[in-house]
Amino acid sequence: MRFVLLSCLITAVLGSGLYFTKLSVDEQYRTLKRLEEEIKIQTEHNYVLQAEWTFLTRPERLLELSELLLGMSPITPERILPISSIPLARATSMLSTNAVSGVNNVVY
Amino acid sequence: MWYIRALKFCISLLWPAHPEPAKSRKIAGYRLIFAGFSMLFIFCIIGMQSVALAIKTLSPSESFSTTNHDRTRGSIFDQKGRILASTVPINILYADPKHIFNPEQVASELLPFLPNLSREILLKKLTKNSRFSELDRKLTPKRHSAILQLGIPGIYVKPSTIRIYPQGTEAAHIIGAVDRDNIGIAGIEKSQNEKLAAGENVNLSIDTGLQTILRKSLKTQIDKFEAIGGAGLILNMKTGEIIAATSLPDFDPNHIMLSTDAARFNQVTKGVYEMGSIFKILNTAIALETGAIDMHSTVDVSKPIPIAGQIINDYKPINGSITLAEILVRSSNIGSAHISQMIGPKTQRKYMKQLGLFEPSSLEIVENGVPLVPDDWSNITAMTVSYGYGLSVSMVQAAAAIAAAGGDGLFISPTLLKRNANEAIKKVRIFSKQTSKAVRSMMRLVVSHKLGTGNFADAHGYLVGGKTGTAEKIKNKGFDKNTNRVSFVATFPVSDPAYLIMIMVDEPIKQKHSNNYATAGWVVAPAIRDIVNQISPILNVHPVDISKPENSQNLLPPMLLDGQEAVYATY
Repeated sequence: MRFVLLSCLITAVLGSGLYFTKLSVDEQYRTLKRLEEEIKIQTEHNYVLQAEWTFLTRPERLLELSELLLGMSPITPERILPISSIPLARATSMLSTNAVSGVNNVVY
Repeated sequence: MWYIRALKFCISLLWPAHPEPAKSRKIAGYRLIFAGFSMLFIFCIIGMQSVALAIKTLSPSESFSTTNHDRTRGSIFDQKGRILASTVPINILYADPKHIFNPEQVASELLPFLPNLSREILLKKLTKNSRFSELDRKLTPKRHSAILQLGIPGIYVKPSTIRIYPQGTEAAHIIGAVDRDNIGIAGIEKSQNEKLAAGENVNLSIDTGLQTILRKSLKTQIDKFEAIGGAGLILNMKTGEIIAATSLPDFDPNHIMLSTDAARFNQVTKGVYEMGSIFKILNTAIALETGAIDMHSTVDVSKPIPIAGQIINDYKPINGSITLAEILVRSSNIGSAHISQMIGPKTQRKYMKQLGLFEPSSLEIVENGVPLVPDDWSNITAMTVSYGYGLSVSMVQAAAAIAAAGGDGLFISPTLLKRNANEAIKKVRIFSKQTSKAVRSMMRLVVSHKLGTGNFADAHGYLVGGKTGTAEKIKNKGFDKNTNRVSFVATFPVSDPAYLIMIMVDEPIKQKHSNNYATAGWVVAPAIRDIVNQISPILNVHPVDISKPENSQNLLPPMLLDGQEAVYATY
């Protein structure tokens, strides 16, 4: 008889424990599902915003607007120079010893 | 049976037929034990079931995974990560005719918000014998809100997705389109459908910025010369990536059903054409590679060649003998035909096959043209192929072959997919470095020398090399001299070619502003110059100083042309 009662008690305790664990797991799942839904909605918003951004910044439109509003035109080869053609200042040590010479210290 | 006997025994223990009073306490004990075990058994079953359910819910694959149906189709990006195709949520407006009591009134209220439907069609949809009647597939948020405010019973909104192409017509032929069920029906959308449907993204080699420049320049020339269409591509010669490809007329994949068959036809990859004189580059390269002729030998081009009832002639007759370079620079058909005989038809055919001109290209697109290869590669075939007739190939195939001859001698299969930074690229050597060096030099002279046919392509500083091609179209079972397909293939900078541009314009008409010419030199070459000028800064190609040894050593020493020393700088 004791054995039966003890078994019933253990079963009841285990059953209750399991029930509360399951409730807690279900709650966690509900949170997870809500977060996943939110991520899905935000991702969809993101897709729309990215598509709108791409539409507004498409090269064809930028080309037209830059010409129309800013008067921009493609860069000509004459305006592209190698780095060596840019005037460079001499070493700072030389400049400090002969600071008065100013622009004369620039090598071309 | 033993179990029936056992059951009877148990029943006799718990419910004896005639219980003796002395045994009743014992029987009560048995009954209590039986009840206890039954309870325990039931609890065990419930417990096990709870555990089984808990374990089942824990499995994420069954509870929260998205099915294929719900999964969003992957996006298509260009080389710089710009969106070419994407899927966005949209609302579908539909009616449940069973819930609509006064279709006339509902139609009157809805009509202002459904601009694509007439009253008759709307009424028909509202009275349809079904529970679902689609009214609008692309409901904008503004109209959605307005229709909801009407509060009409029987009019509902269902969330769905739609494929959009934010770049519109740019690279439409390459990207393709999908049907109503988001299944690819053309272009990359079709060829990569499996990958895209599984939610994976696809990165193309196309650069939308360059694409815009190519399309704009091509369209300008098509309009100027009242041509019926045209096509163009830009190829990265070092990697085989096609970084721009356009075919005009084109279509908007957002509204593919409104486009014509002609607009949907991809002239870059699907159309196969006789390429005309740009094939002389290949003939010249084969001749040098096989030693059929050297740079100093001359060929007599003064006499036209009669073949099979036709006469091979030059656009501008040339007297006397000229060198290989002059044959290419002045685009002599007679000279090219003579050279093809020095090469021999077998050898010429072998090289053409190696250059991938006999099989459809390996491009990752379903619209891939099948070349028209002559069955019998006779002497006459060799002659006509030498100047671009008799063998029809797609623009992509021709570009890849010329990239090998006018580049570094290596053949690279073209691709539309972006290559990874450390991806091994399969390169097959077809021509030696010396041969390609000579071809590059001659291609430069076509543009830089005053005798050349492509002077208008000279983008100052970028050392453009190229070749013009004017092919007569077949009309009424014969070649029509007045309907041409003009093309130009250019590489730059020729000292170390990085990019190849190929443009074709279909049926340009002679104009006053072009001195009544409608040849490739007048129609296409200016577009090449504009494109090179605009794309070079984007592609980080700097103007080249040909006087520097590191640049000049990549070309042949200045050669004699028309009795004078020809230089590679602008004439």
